[in-house]
Amino acid sequence: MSSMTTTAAPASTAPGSFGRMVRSILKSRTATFGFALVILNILLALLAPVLTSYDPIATDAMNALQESSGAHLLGTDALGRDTLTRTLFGGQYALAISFTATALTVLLGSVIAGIAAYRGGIVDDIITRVLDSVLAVPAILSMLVVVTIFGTGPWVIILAVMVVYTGGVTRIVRATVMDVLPKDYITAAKARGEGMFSILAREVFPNVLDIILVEFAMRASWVVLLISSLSFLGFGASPPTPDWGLMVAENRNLMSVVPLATLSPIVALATLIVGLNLAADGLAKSLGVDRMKEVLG
Amino acid sequence: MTPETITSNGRRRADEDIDVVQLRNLGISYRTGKREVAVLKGITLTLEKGRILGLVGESGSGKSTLASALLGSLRTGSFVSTGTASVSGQDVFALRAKELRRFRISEVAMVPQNAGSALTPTMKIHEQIAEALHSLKGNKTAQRSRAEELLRLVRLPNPAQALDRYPHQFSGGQQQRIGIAVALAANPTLLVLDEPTTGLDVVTQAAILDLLSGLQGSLGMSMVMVSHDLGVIEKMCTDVAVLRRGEIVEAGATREVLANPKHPYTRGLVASVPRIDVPGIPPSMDQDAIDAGEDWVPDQEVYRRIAPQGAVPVLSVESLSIDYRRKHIPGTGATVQDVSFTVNAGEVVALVGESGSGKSSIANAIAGLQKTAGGRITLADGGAGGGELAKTVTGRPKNLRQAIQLIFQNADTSLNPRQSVHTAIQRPINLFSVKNASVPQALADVDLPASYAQRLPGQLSGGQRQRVGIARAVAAAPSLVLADEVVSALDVSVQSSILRLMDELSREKSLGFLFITHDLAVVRAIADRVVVLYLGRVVEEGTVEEIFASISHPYSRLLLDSVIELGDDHDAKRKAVKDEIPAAPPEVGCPFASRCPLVRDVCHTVAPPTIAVSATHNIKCHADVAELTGVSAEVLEGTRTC
Repeated sequence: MSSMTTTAAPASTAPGSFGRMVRSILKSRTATFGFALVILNILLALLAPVLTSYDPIATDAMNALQESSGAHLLGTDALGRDTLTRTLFGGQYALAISFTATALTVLLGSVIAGIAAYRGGIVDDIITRVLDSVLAVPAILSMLVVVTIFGTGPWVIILAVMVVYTGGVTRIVRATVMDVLPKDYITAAKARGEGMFSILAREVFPNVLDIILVEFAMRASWVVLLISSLSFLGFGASPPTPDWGLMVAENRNLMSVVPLATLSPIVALATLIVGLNLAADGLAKSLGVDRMKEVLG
Repeated sequence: MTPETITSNGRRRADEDIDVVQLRNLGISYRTGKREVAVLKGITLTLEKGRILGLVGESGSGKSTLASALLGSLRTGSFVSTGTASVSGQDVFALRAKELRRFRISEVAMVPQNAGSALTPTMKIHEQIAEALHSLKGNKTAQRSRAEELLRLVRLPNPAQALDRYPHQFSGGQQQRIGIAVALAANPTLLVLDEPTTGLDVVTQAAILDLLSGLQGSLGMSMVMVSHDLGVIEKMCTDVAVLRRGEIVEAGATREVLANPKHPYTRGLVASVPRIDVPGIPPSMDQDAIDAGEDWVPDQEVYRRIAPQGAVPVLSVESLSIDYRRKHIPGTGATVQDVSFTVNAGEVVALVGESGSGKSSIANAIAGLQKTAGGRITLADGGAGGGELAKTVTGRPKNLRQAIQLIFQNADTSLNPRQSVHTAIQRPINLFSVKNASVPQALADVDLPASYAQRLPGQLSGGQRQRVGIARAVAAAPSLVLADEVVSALDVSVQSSILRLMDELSREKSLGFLFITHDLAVVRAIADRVVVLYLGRVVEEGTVEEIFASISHPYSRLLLDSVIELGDDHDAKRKAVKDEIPAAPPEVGCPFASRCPLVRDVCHTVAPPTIAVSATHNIKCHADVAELTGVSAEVLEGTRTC
C-alpha cells in the first residue's frame, strides 16, 4: 500500500455528476436563460387550467374578434375563443407531442445506433444505408407522405417525426458508440460472455449519455418547429385543437383586426424554440460535447 | 535540494553564452476554478551546447510540461508563475508571436512520443518534411532533394520511394525515424524528444537510440530527452535531472547521479527497475517516507518468486493457428501457426515477442474473442469443470467463461468511467453467481481499502485502477488470467507492487497467469516459464532460468541484446542496427530466417526441427546446440542490413 497514496481527485464531485452539470449550466448566463425559458413554458402549460377560467375549445360568437381587455387579456379570435387560454393550452399540446416524439426518436435512434455499431459489418451497412436514404428526402416531404398514408392525429405526427429524425440521431449516436466500443472494459464484458444488449445498456450507453442528452435538447427544438409547420400547413392538428401552428394559420387573415391572436402563438413558439436551443448549447458546453460536430453530424 | 547549475563536470563557467538552455527558477501553474496548481516549481538548470539532458520522472512529475516549455509552448490555461526560460539566449516566454515562430523554426525542434499520430495521415512524407523546410520555400526540387537527404540521414530504407508514401505505410519505428527527420529539417540548435522510444519494442528502440546518438555526434546539436526509462537515459544522456511533483530532486552528470543517487526518490527509482540479470521482483518505493523527508533507503532485497511445485495443467493450447488473410497470398503464412503451450495452476507463463508477433491474437483466441483457424484450446480444471473451448465466447458455457478472465495494459480504458468500482467488481460476481465472493473481499485481495468501492475510476491513480482491474478479474474466481502487458504503462515504482500482487494471487489462489509482454526484465521478475514467439510461431520455450541462460534461439538472443538497462556498459554493447520485423511470416521455412545471423539455405525452405535442450527447454532451429550457445554480439554484428 505504501506506493499507492497518490490518489487523484477528492471524492465529492465525480466527473460528469449531476451536481457538477447543474453548476456548470448556472455559470453560463445564456444557458440559464435557455433553461428558464423552457421551464417557464412547461410551467405555463401545466398550470393552464389554473391560470385561466375559459375553455380553449368552446366558441363564444358574442365575444368574437375582441381586442385585449380585462376579461380577455390577449383578446379573442374569430370564434370568440380566448387567445391567452388557447395559447396556454397550445403549450400543453406542443410540449406533450414534441417531447414524446423526440424522446421516442432519440430512444429508437440510439438503440438502432447501438446495434449497428456493435454488430458492424453487413448489419451496419444495411442500417446506415437505409437511414441515409431516408435522410436524403426533405423532412417536410417525408412527413407529408406519412400523414397522407396514415391520416392525421397526434400519433401519426409522432410517427412522422420519428421517420424524419431517427436517421440523424442514429448517425451521431453511432459515431460516439464506435468510440466507446474498442475500450478494454467492453472487451472484458465480451470475454465474460455478456450479450449485446447487456453490454450496450451497462457499458456503452452510460458513456454516451451526454451526447444523447444534447441530442434530445437540440432535436426537441427542431421537432417543435416541424410539428407547428405541419399544423400550419393543415396536415397536423385538426381544428379545434389549440395548436400554435394551427392558430397562426387560422388567424393570419385577421392579422390587422386581432393581431394578438396571431402573435401570441408565434411568441410562445419562438420562446420555446430559442429556450430549447440555448439549453442545448449550455448542456453541450457543460458536458463537453462539441456542438458544432453535432450540428454538422 | 535544488541544484545550482548543471555543468559537464561541476565547474563554474564565466561565459554563459554557450549555454543552450538556461532555466532560472522557472515555475508553471495552471488555474482550475479559483485554485492555482503548480506543475513546475523553481526549476533551475542549464545545459551546455552539445550535451544531452535527460528528464526523468513518473507520470505527473511535470517532465513533459518542462520539455514543451523549452519550445515556448504551454497548455491552455497554464501560465509562467515565476522565473525565466531562455533557449539559445532568447527568453522564450518574452517572445512575441512572430518572434516565437521564428525561434521555433530556427532554434528548437521536437520529436513527439508517438510519431504515428504526429504525422498528418493525409500528407505524403515529402510534403511533411517540406513543411519544416522554411528556407527552401517555393523551391520544390530543392525541398525534395533535402527531404531525401534527411530520410537517408535517419536511415530509412529506400528514401527515394518513401518520399511519395503516406505515414500509415510505415511501421512504428519507421514513423519515428520520419518524425526525427522532420525535426532535423531546419537544423535546430536544440532537439527536444518526448519519450521518443516508449511505444516501441526493444529491438526498434535500440535502433532508434543508436540513430539518435549517431546524429547527435555528427550534427553536434544539444538534446533534451524526456523518459521514464532510466536505462535509456543512462545510455543517451550526459546530464540528468530527476523530477518529482514538479520539482527537481536531483541533477548532475548521468553516471554520477544514477550510480550514486543522493536523493531517496532517485534511490527508490533506481532500485525499483527490474533487471534482466537479476531474477525476482525489485522492492517498491515508499512514497510516504520520501514525502516525510526521511532519508529512505530502498531494500536491497529482491523478492524471488518460487515456481509452483507439481504441474497441474489449467490451460493447454495445441497447434493453434490464426489467419487474418481473406485469401491465400503466395509467400506468406498464417499470422499464428502451430502454437502449443500449457499453463499450470499457480504458474506465471510469459508469452514474449516484439509487436506483431501474435501475442495478443493468441490471448484473444483463448478468451474467445478471436476466431481460430485450427488447433485446440482446452481448459483442464478441477472445480469449474473443464473442456475444449469453443471458438468464440458466445459458444462457451458459463463455467468456462468464468474460468478465464482478462487484465489489460491500459488501466485508463479497462474500467468503465461511469461505473463505480463496486459496480465493476459486482458484475462478474452476479453474472457467474460466484459463491463466497464479495466486493470488499475482492478489494482486499488486491490490497485496496473497502471504502474505494464507492469511487469512480477517475478518482483513482493509475496503479489503483490496475488493481481494480485485477480485482474485477479475480472476483470471478477464474482459474486462468490473461494479463496483456499489464505493467508496461505503469511507473516503475508502481510496477513492482503490481508484480508482487500477481505473484501473491498466483500462489494463494492457484491462479494460472498467461503474462503477455515484450519487456524481458519484467519476464525475469515474475515468470516461471517463458514462450518466445516470433511472427506467430514459437521459437523457444523453457523455464525462465533456461531462457536467460547461455543456450538460446538467435531471436531470443537478439531480444536480450537489445534490452537497454541501467548499469550496462552501453558503449561496449553491440550497435543494434537490424531489419525490422517483416509484415507477414513466410509460407515455408523458419520465420526468423530473414534476420537470423546463423541462417543457412535450409532455413528458407524447411521448418526448423525442435531441439530439446532439456526436458523443459525447447528451441526450434536448424543450427545445432553448440552454435546456439552464447551466440555473441560479434556474430550478430555481421548481419546489419538496411
